[in-house]
Amino acid sequence: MEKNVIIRLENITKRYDDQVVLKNITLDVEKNEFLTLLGPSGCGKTTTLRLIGGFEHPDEGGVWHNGKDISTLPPYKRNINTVFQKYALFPHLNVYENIAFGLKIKKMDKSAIDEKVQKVLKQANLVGYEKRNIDQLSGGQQQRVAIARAIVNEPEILLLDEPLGALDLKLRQEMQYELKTLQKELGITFVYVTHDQEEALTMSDTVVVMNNGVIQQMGKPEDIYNEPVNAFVADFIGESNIITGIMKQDRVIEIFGHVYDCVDKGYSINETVDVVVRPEDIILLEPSEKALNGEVTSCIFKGVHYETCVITEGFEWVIHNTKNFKPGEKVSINVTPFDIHIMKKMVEEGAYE
Amino acid sequence: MVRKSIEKFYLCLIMLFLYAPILTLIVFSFNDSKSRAKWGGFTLKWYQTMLHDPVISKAIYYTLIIALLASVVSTIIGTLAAIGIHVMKRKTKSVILNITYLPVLNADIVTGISFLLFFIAIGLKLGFTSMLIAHITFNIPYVILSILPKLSSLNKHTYEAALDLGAHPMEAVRKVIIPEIMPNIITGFLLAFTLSLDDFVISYFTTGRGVTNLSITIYTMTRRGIKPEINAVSTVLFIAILVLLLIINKRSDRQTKKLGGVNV
Amino acid sequence: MNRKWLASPYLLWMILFIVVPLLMILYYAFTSRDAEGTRFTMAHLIKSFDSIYMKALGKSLLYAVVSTAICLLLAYPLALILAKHDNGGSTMIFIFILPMWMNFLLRTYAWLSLLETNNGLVNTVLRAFHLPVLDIIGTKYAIVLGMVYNFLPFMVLPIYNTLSKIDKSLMEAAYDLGANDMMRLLKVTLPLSMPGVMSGITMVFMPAVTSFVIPNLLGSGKVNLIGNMIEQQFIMTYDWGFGAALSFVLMVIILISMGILRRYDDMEGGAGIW
Repeated sequence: MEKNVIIRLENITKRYDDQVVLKNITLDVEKNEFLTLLGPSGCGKTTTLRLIGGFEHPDEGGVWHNGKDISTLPPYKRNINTVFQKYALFPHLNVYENIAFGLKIKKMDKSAIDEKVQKVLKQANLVGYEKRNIDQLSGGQQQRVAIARAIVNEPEILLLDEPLGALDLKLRQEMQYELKTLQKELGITFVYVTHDQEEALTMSDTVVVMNNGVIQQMGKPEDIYNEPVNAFVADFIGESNIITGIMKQDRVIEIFGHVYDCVDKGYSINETVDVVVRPEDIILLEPSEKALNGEVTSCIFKGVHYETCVITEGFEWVIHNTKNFKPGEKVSINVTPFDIHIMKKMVEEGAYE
Repeated sequence: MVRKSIEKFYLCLIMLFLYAPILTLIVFSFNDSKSRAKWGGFTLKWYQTMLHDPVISKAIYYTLIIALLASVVSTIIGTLAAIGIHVMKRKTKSVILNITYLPVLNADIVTGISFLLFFIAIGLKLGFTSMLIAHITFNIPYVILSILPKLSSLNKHTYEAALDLGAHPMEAVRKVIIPEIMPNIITGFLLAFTLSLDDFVISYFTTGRGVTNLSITIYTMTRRGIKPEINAVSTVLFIAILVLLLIINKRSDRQTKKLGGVNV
Repeated sequence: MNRKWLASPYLLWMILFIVVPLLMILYYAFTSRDAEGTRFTMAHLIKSFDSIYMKALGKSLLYAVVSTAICLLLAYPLALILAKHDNGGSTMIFIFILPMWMNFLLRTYAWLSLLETNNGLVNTVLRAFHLPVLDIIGTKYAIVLGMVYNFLPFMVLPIYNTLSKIDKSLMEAAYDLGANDMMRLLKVTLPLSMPGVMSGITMVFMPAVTSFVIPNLLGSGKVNLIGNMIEQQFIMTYDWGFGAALSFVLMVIILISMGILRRYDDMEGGAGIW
């Protein structure tokens, strides 16, 4: 195993009753990176996390930690800690006791425990809250206690299962920033699970997009966003317009009978492909003869931009721009070649087009 | 309003119906006369004779001992059982729970008879042990019933969090699950104790060799001859049950208030 | 080390002391032992169909049905009133439930004492007012009275629990849609309270059918219900086999009634007793 890989999941298959939840997953997590498992509910991301934590065992395949096989090693023997989705704080213990729990199990002496707990209280901005009861804390505070309780044990890897889900938007955004900073400070590996693609893009070094128990794409946030490999990823990450097109030849794509230059090549002549154009990449101009013309159906103010919908040839485009169009206005769709992304046509399970 | 007075009247009527016999017993426990209808003056002598009566004292002794032992043992077995049953697969869980609640749902005479036949078949002479076993058996389902719903409502990740932080499964149970269900364990214990104190039918069929309890003694008395001390016994029992129930009630009220404040 | 094994001491106990004893009833009911050994027999079961026992069974069912019906009639309005005013917390319902926990032997004996023909309090008072004396000890009226008295709280509690859980906004919606009090009672409250009613019926009917203490005490042993018959087999005649057969018949009847009533009852949550 490569020196830099701290966790390796190799050919993992996992079943619940008759359902296959993970299908032959292989994944490398590098040391000290912030890796996010991203996908819709039921895609298998939480199961993957729990496999790393030891709460599930793989039916096929193995889990490796620094070269050692830990597939069936129980959680209390792994040097990995978890921040659970609903925090799972112990209600009968106060903040201090919750945080000190793991250290007490290790039978550390009182002064050592106190030192570590105080340090972590500072890091988590919880100084002064030691004696509080859990039910007296706000959601954000409870979340910090959950994080503190995990990191005080100085694990090599921290697993986080959708920890920000219960927080309101503003708090969530603050915590995203704090978690990212924390990871850099601690210098350890974070494996993070979320269904919120914005969160994933903001915090991660590596994003793993999953669906139906299969890894769809893995890479840096910018790469995933700009070069989605299939329609699912394109649709899940950011907003996108996905159209069927025909590759006339290298770098030339035909959409709705109109020919455009693009930058992708390597497809067969006249191959049917998926074409992705991001809403912010579309420029709306006056209708012209050669262009793809259509009519504005709605234009909604979203704060940061206007979301304009334009219908052409039966397809409804979504455009983000800063102009206010009126429903009924006639416009044309324009895109630079660079912003047209071609992907191999994907047979989507359960897609409604 | 007419409606309200009718309602109040009805409530009072029913209350009278329910409490008349009990109050009569209590009042007459202070009656300085053996008559059940005429008042002969206030006295505490029946309480004194009650305490000195060998039959009654023996009955009280056995009742308390059996109730105490049975509730302790059934609480231990029942708590472990509830924790174990909680994590079983649905089919197994369902079968086990159905069998568990058989003594609860079955007529107590049938349960009593089944014990009787069983003890005879295995050659256990009826007496203290047989009665104790029977009490433990019918108490356990109530302990489980007190604890199982709470286990279902716990955050299922707290146990995993304990494992995650390095605790072995038994440690995790001891340090995390038990503290969280402790109120229910205590309620289960009190419930078992109360049920044992009060039991008649099952005790009747599973005891022998002079071992008796309060209910059986009263039953025998009604057939042989009523002693006036019985009123004193009733009063004492009534107060004991009242206190026990108040405690159980207060605990469950406090618990519901506490849960209202948790936001996880 | 899976947590589910924590239940193993209990499982052992359960099999030994719940399952086996019940099987023992079957064993004794269907076998007979004599000098030659043990053999299978239907004799006990057949004997239990003798008219004398069937009559007792019939009486038990009849008394139980009557008592249950009276309990229902008394309990439902009570539960309605209590549920309406339950802002006083659990105090009110506590007062009505408390007698249920009093030793049931004592409560039954108390009525025996009250209703005694010559010296009982009730009759002493009636005589003082020159009213006719109630000579009901030893009759079916006393037994039904005893049953109703003992089991009334068991009917009140589940109905009350169910009623108090009915979402108040449903009541308001009914008014909003034009129903008056009586309509609302019949069309909204009553149907919604059915699970509680079923639960209550179960909790009253079953002990009533199998009761032997109440007939013994208040019936002076003159009225024989199935419970008494079974008791006699074990305490007096020592005919285990036949007693077991009678118990078996009783068990079957109970299971059937439970099966019918259970369709409306919810076990895990339950219209609880506490």
